[in-house]
This record gives sequence, C-alpha cells and structure tokens, in this order.
Amino acid sequence: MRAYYFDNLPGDVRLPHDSGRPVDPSKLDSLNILYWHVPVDSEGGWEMRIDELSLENNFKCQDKIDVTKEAFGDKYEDILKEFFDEHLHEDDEIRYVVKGGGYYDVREHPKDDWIRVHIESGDLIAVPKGIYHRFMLDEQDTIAGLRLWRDVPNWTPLPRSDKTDKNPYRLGYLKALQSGSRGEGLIARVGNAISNFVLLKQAGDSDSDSEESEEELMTSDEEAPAAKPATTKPAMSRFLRTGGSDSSSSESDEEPEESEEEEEEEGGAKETKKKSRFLRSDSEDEESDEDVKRVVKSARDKRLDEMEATGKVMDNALKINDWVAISTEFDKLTRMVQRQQNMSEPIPPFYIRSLVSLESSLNTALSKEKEAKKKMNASNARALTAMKQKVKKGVKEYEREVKLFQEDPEAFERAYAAAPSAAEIAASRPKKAKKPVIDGEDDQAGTDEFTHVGKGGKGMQFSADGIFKNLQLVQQARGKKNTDRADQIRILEKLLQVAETPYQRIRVLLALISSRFDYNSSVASHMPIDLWLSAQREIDQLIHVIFNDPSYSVQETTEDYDEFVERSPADEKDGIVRIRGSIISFVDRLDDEFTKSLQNLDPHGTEYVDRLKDEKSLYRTICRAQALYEKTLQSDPLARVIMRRLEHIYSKPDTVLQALEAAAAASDLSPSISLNDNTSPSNLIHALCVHLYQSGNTLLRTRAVLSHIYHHALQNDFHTARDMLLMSHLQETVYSADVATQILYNRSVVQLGLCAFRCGLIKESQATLQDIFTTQRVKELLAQGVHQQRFQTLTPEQEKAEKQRQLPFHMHINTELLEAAFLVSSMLVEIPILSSIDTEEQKRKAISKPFRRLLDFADRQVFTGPPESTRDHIMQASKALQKGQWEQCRDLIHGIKIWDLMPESAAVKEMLARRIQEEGLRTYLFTYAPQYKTVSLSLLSRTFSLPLRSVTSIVSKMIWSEELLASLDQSAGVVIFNRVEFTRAQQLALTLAEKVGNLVEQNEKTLDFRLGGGSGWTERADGTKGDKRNEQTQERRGRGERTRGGSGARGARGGRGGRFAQGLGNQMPASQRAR
Amino acid sequence: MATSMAAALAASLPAPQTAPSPAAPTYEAIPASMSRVIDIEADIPLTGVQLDGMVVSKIIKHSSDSHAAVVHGLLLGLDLDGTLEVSNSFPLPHHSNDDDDKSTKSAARYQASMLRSLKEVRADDSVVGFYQSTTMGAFFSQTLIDTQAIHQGKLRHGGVVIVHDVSQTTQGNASFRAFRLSKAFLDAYKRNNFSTQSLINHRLTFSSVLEEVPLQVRTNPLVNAFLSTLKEPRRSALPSTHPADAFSSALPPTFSSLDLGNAALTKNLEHTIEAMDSYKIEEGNLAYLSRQIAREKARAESYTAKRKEENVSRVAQGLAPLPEEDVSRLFKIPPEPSRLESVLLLGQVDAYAKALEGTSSTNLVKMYAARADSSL
Repeated sequence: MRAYYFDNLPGDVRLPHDSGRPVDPSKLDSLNILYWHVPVDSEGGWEMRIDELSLENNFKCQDKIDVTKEAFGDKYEDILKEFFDEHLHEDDEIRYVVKGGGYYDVREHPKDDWIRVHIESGDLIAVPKGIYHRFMLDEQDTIAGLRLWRDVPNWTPLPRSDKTDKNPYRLGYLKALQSGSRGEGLIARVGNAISNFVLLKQAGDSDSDSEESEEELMTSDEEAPAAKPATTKPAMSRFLRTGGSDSSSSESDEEPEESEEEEEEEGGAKETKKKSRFLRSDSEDEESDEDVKRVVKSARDKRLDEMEATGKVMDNALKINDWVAISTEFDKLTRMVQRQQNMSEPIPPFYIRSLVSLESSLNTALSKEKEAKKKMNASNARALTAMKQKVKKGVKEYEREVKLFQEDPEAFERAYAAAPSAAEIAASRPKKAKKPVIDGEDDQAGTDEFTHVGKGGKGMQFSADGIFKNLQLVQQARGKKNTDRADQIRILEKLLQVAETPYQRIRVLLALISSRFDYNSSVASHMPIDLWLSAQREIDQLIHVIFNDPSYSVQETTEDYDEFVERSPADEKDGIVRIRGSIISFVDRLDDEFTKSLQNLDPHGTEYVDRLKDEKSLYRTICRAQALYEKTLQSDPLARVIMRRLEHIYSKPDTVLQALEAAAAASDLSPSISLNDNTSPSNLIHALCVHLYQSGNTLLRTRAVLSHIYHHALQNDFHTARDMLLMSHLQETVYSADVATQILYNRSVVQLGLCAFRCGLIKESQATLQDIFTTQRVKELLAQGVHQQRFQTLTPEQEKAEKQRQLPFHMHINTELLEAAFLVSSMLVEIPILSSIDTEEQKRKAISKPFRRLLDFADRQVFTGPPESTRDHIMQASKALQKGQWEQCRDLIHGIKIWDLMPESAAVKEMLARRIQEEGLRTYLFTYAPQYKTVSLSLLSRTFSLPLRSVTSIVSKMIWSEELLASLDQSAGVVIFNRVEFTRAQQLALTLAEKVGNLVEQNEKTLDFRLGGGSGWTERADGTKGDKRNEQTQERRGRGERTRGGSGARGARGGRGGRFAQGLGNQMPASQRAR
Repeated sequence: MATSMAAALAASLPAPQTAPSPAAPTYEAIPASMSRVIDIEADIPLTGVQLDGMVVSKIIKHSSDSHAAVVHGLLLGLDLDGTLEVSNSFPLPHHSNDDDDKSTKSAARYQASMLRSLKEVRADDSVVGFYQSTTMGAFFSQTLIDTQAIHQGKLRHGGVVIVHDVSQTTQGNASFRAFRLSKAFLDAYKRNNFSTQSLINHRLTFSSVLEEVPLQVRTNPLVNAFLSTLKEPRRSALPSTHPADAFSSALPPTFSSLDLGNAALTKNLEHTIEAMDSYKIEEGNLAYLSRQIAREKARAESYTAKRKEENVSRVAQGLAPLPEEDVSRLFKIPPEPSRLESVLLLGQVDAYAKALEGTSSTNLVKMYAARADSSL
C-alpha cells in the first residue's frame, strides 16, 4: 500500500497522479482508515488469515469480486464511472485485493484534499463509513479480491451532496474524528447498541401505526433519526439492520428478544396477544417489522418521496431523450421496490405508474427511433434497448398490478393506502392470533400481494380460467427460498378441485405431485406419510386420466407450447395433446420415498408394520403405471417400472407375493403380466425378468438377473440359481457396477449360499458364504447396518450416503442365521480335514479362516460354560465332533434357536444330523487310523448309527480319493489300514516340491503380468477387492487339489490353467472335484 | 560382521606395489628369456591357479577341524607367467558374533603380525587371495563378494578366492575351485547400483557374478613318490600269517563310497528349503519396496499433474501460474532396492540344487548297482 496526495491534474485517472507528497500512515490512521497486509500465497494461507482478521474485527460477511473488462462487458466503463464519483457509504467499505490493484481516493479532513491510497495484491483496507471517497482501478485495469462487511452486504453509494453532509453516518464519522476514538465510528459495540435501543424504542412508541423496514431507513433516513445524538447512529442502524436481516449472529439475535421482553412489560393485554403470535411464528422478517414499526416515524413516506424524486429525474431525462440516465434511475427504482417487496410490503402504485408510463414512452421512442435512426448516439441506443428489456421484465413481474392499475388507477392507489391498515387490523385481531402460524402467514402474504383478496383470508379465488396463471405462479415460486411449500400444495389442491378439462387436470396433477415431493427439501428425512399417501393417490388419478383418455399423453420431451392456453385434442395436429412431465419419475420417487420412510422408522414398532401395509397400494400404483406404459408402448419407462415391480416382489415369499398381486389385481388397470390361477409366483418373476432381459438397458438386465437368481435361491432351486450366476459372468464385472447393484449381488450370493445349505450342499454353501464372511463386514456389504470403522472415521457425507443405501428392515437377510449356516457348514467341512492332516505347515492353511479363528479362540478358553450364543453352540459342537462324539454334536447344533427362522427347519435339522453322522465317521477314521490296523465296518456302523451300506460307501470314497490309506476287506467286513510313515527326507522332498510349485506359479504370474497377457485379472484388479478375490479363488483351488490327495497330475496346474480358474470363479473347483 | 571383516582384511593388506625404487631409476635390459617371467606391471593375465599340495592339506585340515560352518584363510604365493602359484596359506581366526569392532581389529592385527613373522622366516609373504570353506557348494555370500571386491582393487591381478567344499570332501572327493569377480559385476559393484535396470545392462545373473579360474594341484615329486608307496600293498613284516593278511596297505580298501549318505541328503534338502524361504522373503521385501516406490511415484505424478492443471486454469483466469515446485522435495521417493541380495540367494539355491542333483544321481547309480547285485 502506498498513500500520497492526488495531484489534481487532468489525465487518465488510472495513472498514479502522484503529487510527490507522500502521506504518512498515521495520517490515514487519523482518518480512521484501517489497513492490514496479508500476502497472497498459493497455499491459501491468506484465506485463513483473512478469516482470523474477520473474526477479530467482526467482519461477518464476505464475497468474491472480480472486476475485469470481460466480466462486465459494455457496462464496465459505466460501473467504473460510478465508482469514481465522490460518494460515501453507510457501512465500512472493506476490501481485500488478491490480484490487480486500484486507488482509493479519500477526502482528507478537514482540508478536503484528495489522498490517493494505492492498494495492491495482499492489501486489506477498511474505509470507514461516512468518509467521502472514490475508487478507480490502476493501470492493470483489473482487480480481484474479497469484499467484507460487518453486517449484511450493503454497497449503495450516496453521491456527495448537501444531503449527504447531513447524513448521520457522515456526522458520526466527523464526530469520531474529533473525539479521536477511532474504534467508535467503525466498530459498533453491543452494549452501546442495546442501551441506545431503549431510547429509540421509547421514541418510537409514540406512533406505532407506521410500517417500516430497516432498509428504507438506510436509503432515506436523512432526517428521521437526525434528532438523536450522532454517536448513536452507527449502533442503531446496525441494530436495525441485523434485526431485519436473516443473519444469525448471536448478538443480533439477542437484541430483538430483549426488545420483546421490554415490550411485554410495557404493553397491555393486546400487546401480549400479539406477542404470542409472534412467538409462534418463526419468520424473523415479521418480528423485525413489528419492532421497526414502533421505532421509526413515517419513513415510508420518505422513501416514497425518494422514489418520486427518482421518477422526476426519469421524467426529465425522458424529455431530453437521455436513455442512459433513465436506465440508471430505473435500476435504482427497481432496487428500492425490490427491497420493499422483500419486506413483504405492497408495491407502491407510483412504481406501477412509472412502469406503465415508461412502457408507453418507450414504445413511442422506439417507433420514433425506427423512423429516424441517426438521431440517437450509440450508447443511448444501447440504453434504450436495455430499458426495453427491463421494462418488459418489470411489467411481466407485476403483471397483475399493472392490469389492475390500467383498469382503474385511482382504485389501485386507494387499495394500496388501505393495505397497511388492513394488515394492521388483521394482525391485531385476537382470532387471528390463535390461528396456526401458517394461516397467519398466508393471510399476510395474501393481503400484501394480492389486493383483490378478501380480508377474511379465505384465500385466492380460483376459477377454471385462472388455472394456468396460478399454475405459472406456483411454478415460478417453486424452488425459491422463501416459498411456503405447504401453501403451494394447498393452492394446487384447490386448483385441482376447479379443474375441468382433462388437460387442466393433468397439468394441475403434474404440478401438485411434484410440489408434494418438493415438500421435504432435505435428503435425509423422509416425506410425511399423509403427503405420501395423497401423492400416491394423485399418481393413481393421473394414470387413470391418461389411461382413459388416449388423446392425452405425458412425455418428458415435447415441443414447446404456451403454458397459458387451454389445449384440447381437437386443436392438435395428430389429435394427441402432449404434455411435459414424467410419470415414471413420479413412480420412482414414490417408491424411493417409501423406502426412505421405512429406513427412518423404528422397525420394531407398530408404525413400521402400518407403513408396510402401504406397500400394497404402492405395488398397485406401480402395476397401473406398467399397464399404462404397456398401452402407450413406451419401452424405456416400461422397463423401469417393471424393475420397480420386480424389486418389490423378488425377495418375498410366495404368500406375500400373492397378497401383493391380489391387491394389484383388484385395481381397474392391470398389466399384461400378472399372477393368475394358472401361473405360479416364480412364473411371474420369470416373465418379468424375461421382459427386462429383452430391454436394452444393461443395468436393468443385470439387476433383473440378480433378482432372478435371488428368487431361484429363495425357491431352493440351487442349481438353476448357480448356473445363472456363473453364466452371467457377473462376478467379473460386478466390481465396476454401482453400489446398489453390488448390494443386490451380495444379497443374491448370500441367498444362494443359504439355499445350498438348505439343500444340504454343505461344501457349496461354505464356499459361497466364505467370501462375504472373510471380509468381516457382512452387515455393511448387505446394506443392513453400518460398519464400525476402527481405523478411520467416515466423513459425514459418506455416512449419509451409507445410511441412504441401507435396506429397510423387512428386506434384511438374517445375519445371525447366515452366520450359523456358514459356521456349521465350515465345521462340517473343516473338522475332518483338520483331523486328517498332521504337519504343522498344512495345519496353518485354513479353509475357512473365520471358523478357524473362532475355533482357536475356543481352544484357548480355560473354562467353557454351557453354550449361550449361536457361536458357542457351534464351537462346542465342533469340539465334540473332533472327539467323535457325534450325538453330542448333533444335540448342540439342534439346540441353536435360530434355525426356527429358516423355512423347513425340521428338514434342515434332519439333514444336518445326517451330515454330522457322516462327517463324524470321517473324522473318526482320520483321527484313529494310525492307531488301528483294522476296523470292523459293523462297529463303525453301530457307533455312528449309520447303515452299513453308507459306512461302506463313505470308506470306499475316502480310499478312492486317497484321503485314507487303507483297503476294504469285504469278506471279513473290515477296513485294513496300511499306513506309511514318511521319512524325514521324504517329508522334506514333499515340502520342497510344494515350494518349487509355488515359486513357478509366482513366476508365471509375474511373467504374465509383465507381458500384459493377464488381462483376465488386470481388468478386474481395479481395487483391493479384486485382489482379495484372486487370493480366495486361489485358496479354493488349492483345496480342490488337496482333496485329490496331492497326487497325480500336477502338470495341469500351469499358469494357463490358473488363469482359467480365476476367470471362472468357483466353477473350476467344482469341475476339478468332479474329475 | 560381513563388511567389517572385509574392511579389516583390506586394512591389513600391503599397499599395491608402486615404483620399485624412486631413488635410482636405472633399468637394466631384461633378457628375452626372462621377459615372460618378470612381469612388473602385471601385464600377463592370469590363466590358471596352481595350488601347492601343502596348501591343499592345510585348507582341508583347517576346514575339517573347525567347528564353524565357514572358515577363512589367506593365500600366499606369486604369479608367474600367467599362473598364480599358491605356495602357502594360513588360517584366519574365526569370530562369531563378537563385538564387531574388536574382532575386526584383532583380526587385522593377527594378519599383520602373521605376515611379518612369515617375512622374518623368509617365507612367501605376498597375499594373492583367500580361501573359504563351504557346504553343498553354496558359497555365495555377501562377505565373500565384499572381501573379493576389496582384494580385486588392492592385489596384483585382483587376487583369487578358493572355495573348498567340505561336504564333498567328506564323501571322498576333495573339491577346490578358484574364482574371481567378473568385470561386469565389478563395474556394477563400483557404482553400487544393483537395480533391475543395472542388472539387465550388465547382464548379471548369479552365474555371471564370479568367473572360475582353472585350478590344478601340484605336489612335489617327493610327495608324489610317497603317496604312490602308500597305495602300493606291502608284504607284512610277520612271516607266518594268513594269506589274506599277508599284504597290507597303508590305505585299506574302504566301502564308504557305497554309502548313500542319506544324512547329507536330508541336510541338503533342508538347506535348499531354507534358501528358498529366504529368497521368498527377499522377494517379498523387494515387491513391497517396489510397490511403495510405485505408490510414491504415482502420488508425485498426480501432484504435478494437478499443479499443471491448476496453472492452466489460473492462466486462463489471468492469474500468475504457481511455481512448479520440486517434486522430489515434497515426496520422498525411496531409492530402488538393491537386488544383489536376491541374486546371491538365487545363486545359493542354484548351488544347493546342483549339489542335490549330484548326490542324488550318484546315489541313484549306487542303488542300481545294489539292485543288480541283489537280483543275481
């Protein structure tokens, strides 16, 4: 920063204009100009520093500004010109320069010389309010930086004039300079503000009938507060501003409260009533309105005067055809009106009047212009066209008022004058005070905005003709910040009642449904249930209307049409009225909201069950939508809606499915595919899936296949389900799918494992469930709970996303049951193997790591009490099985309560008992083979209470697969063991062979990787998951080998074979076993 | 221990012989007949190593007496007309896990005093290399490489290392092999760069680390004569003995060569497995390190890419581009790991495997022989 006196010479103002007389920083200090230097660095450290400074100095707002020629275009020079006019602000002008540079010319006091302060990158300057100054860019001709404010942003410049000399901020500034207390003018103190407020309030109490907002005070407070001591000005205005703004700083909040308390003390019964109304209302605007009302004298008139003054300037400019001046003045006027509107004040008729007159003069000017083109210069012409746009916009915005005005100007003005008092009356009525807040606001809005609304607050008058206009209004308000959504819904509902033609009804319904969905803006919370129900009903209605009248169609893309015109099939070219909208997205949204509400309900409460009952009607709506799309032959939405339908039924047992279908059948519209007497539920699912397979959408196809697999698994059709899964090759691509599909995949696989378990295919079950259990994040992978992160914490966004993915409770697969199935099948697979191996190295290779971990843990326990949890049961059963006590093992397994949750639990238990007998026999043989020379088959049969035939078959199988080195002596009915002890050298040789095998495999893998030939996994190795999978398949492969006894054709196990096995997932081990 | 040992050896070595006498540089013409014998500048390359019988027996004795698995000693002698004649040797003390500093110092002291004493008795005292005992032929080790590398720089012709395989000797065939480091390896060693690229450039594998020098054992005629008399059966001094005992030999016939040596086989297998395990561990370490490097590199690259992108957008906005900082300062990319260790381990595995092959093939022959015998 550099400061010097301005040389007052003519020339480009962007030049330095250095008079050679430097200005001491202390001089600036005495002018209350604050200055910091925060170097701009690439790391963004300056941002932190600025934030610190803001905190220290109470700068509450900031925004970015970038003044470049490109950004402003034509207006650039005009804006700079405005900057360079000598002016003052009613707030400190605090700027931080990131790039570029500029000059602040400030008036020295009292000599009134220009001091030029050159600010450049890294400078933070605070020009106090009330100082006369101007601003210009330097030769770089660009500036980018931050604007900071102590309160709400306000940068209205007040050009220097006699008026501004009397401006309270100016006076306050001068006073601060005299007293030399530099903080006073700049930094308002809270205590000061409060004490001042009391003063003001007393003054304001005297006339309470004026309505006022703080913004007006700012623009037109030349004399209103002038009577008060100058020092109080900053504080007061500051308070007023905070009161009216939405800024939520704590201190500004305190003040209005305090004021209310005092009000209460002073005011009578009427006051209290009023207050109670305000307490209920949470709109801060209103509060401030009320406060201000008491404070300020008829400032509204002042403001109106100002407006009129502006209007006069405009008139004058109009006379000399100076459109540039008109344009700036009109902008000013619009700003004022807008501010007024923000305070939900009626639009002054003056504005409307000038709008109308401007429009007419514009038209004449334009027509004149056409005749004599050369008369106007370029900038003027440009301003004229700009004005045309602005006025057009203004007219459109205040269409209603303009129309009213044109009809009867005087009546309009009268209505305006009456409005404030009417509002006053409405507010003071005790009956009103008791009304719910929404109603109160509604009234307020009604009285304020539409003068034609009756005072009783019955709402707008709706008629069939006005439907489109009202619709338009609602549409425009949609998504805006201050829109009252409940109100909008009510308007639309009323519109629906009066809608006559199908076209109107469709239009209104479309708007109504979307505004219902809009009601909840936050993503996390769900839609209120009653709203959901009405939305569902309305969608039904919409479908009904469209279905019954084929000459109307709702499409996502249509040609442009006039929103305000009634359309009928007769007018259209091909007799079909196309309306913009999307039913499928409504259905999607409805379904999503249903899921969301289920996610948010307590699954163990009755509320949840009640909510679930709505699924029927939802399902019906989906079916109806399907019927509609089938009729209109729209394939893409049809596929989507079928997917939705499938998602509702794929995981349901037959009875539930039939109930849902019955509900759907009850409706008047039914889709082509539905459950009737000669189709079974699986046929239905099949038909739906086949339809989706034929659709072009790969995502839908994938999901359909997964749902189909799930359903097959649910129906205990293991082999079909498995074949479908393997043939779809989904396990290779699912890692790149979206999360929802991955969850569905996990669910299908898990269900497949459970199905295998129910069917008694223990090994398959174990292998299928293994993957998910080794991750130890079962719940997370099935989207049934959030995983506890031990080492890292999730960001709130991640957590939110995670929560949204959760399945509703009724869709859950019972993880405890899952675990029981997995552990039991692991036990049945692992225990015999565990007893068959004798070397330590082999022992370390666990097939099922989670099971082994639990078993080791159970082994380490000193005391084992009676089993409590499922795990305890299984661990103790495993130990019993190891010892050959199969009966105890069976009893323990049967003692697990969770089996009751499994369909056909009795059959499953029986199957388990048989398995336990068989595996018990195998374990026994493995464990005691070294101890015996011969064992009688009949003894074995007795011990394990198995028929002799099955004992013989088991033993023969073990001999055949070289698990047991023995032979059968049929005549004597015994097993003869011929066990061979390996010598040390032999053992070592075996180990060596294995190690060399590993080494070779590793080498081939590396080579493949280097040569890039391993596309089989490089494609999939996009994450750790893929790697893990590889390891697992490898492990499984290893086991497949082991069951073959580690003898024979090892040659087949080259790199090539290895690659195949990995590509095919768990198909390979199965085929190996079969060989 | 390994390197410090080598350092100690190097410290005690005489400095390479420089100009013989700086005072009187008067040269006499070397007669043509002697030109191949007198080779001051070591111009004639080594073509072979000749080991004196005494040295052989000394090494064998030292190796078989010692409890330690590996023993070292220094070779003394002279090179003559391309042949390195090793005429004497002495063992070096073995230090196991002592205080490193102390042991190296004492080893150096011992070596120096030994050489001095030898000089005093006018025995050969010029060091020409060292010997090392080994089992199963796996002599590759960091120590050997380091010591030999130091010798190569300091000794005439770079010195040789003679490896004596104890396990072969116990089976009846004394095994001595002479090696020196190959040029390619020395080059890589000097640069201390054993990254993958360097290995490829130098075409280095474990088999090309060392080059073998032909070795022959020379015994003087007197000893030869004595040995031949040992083989010759003699008539017993006692007159009336059984004809079978009548002839006695100093070396009675032995059947030990028919022993299958299963203990050795077990040991060999164990060693092989051990070597493979350590190779695997080393591989794992290497893989880990290279993953780390790749990760760091990727991070650095993404950083620079991001910075570049940012700069492009900044330039587009009209802001000054941020400086392209030195990436190496921000990200510590670890140096590429040396693969020497894994090369050596592979060498060991190879040696064990070869030994295994050797013993098992001879054993196989022996077993066939036994079977042929039994079938008769």
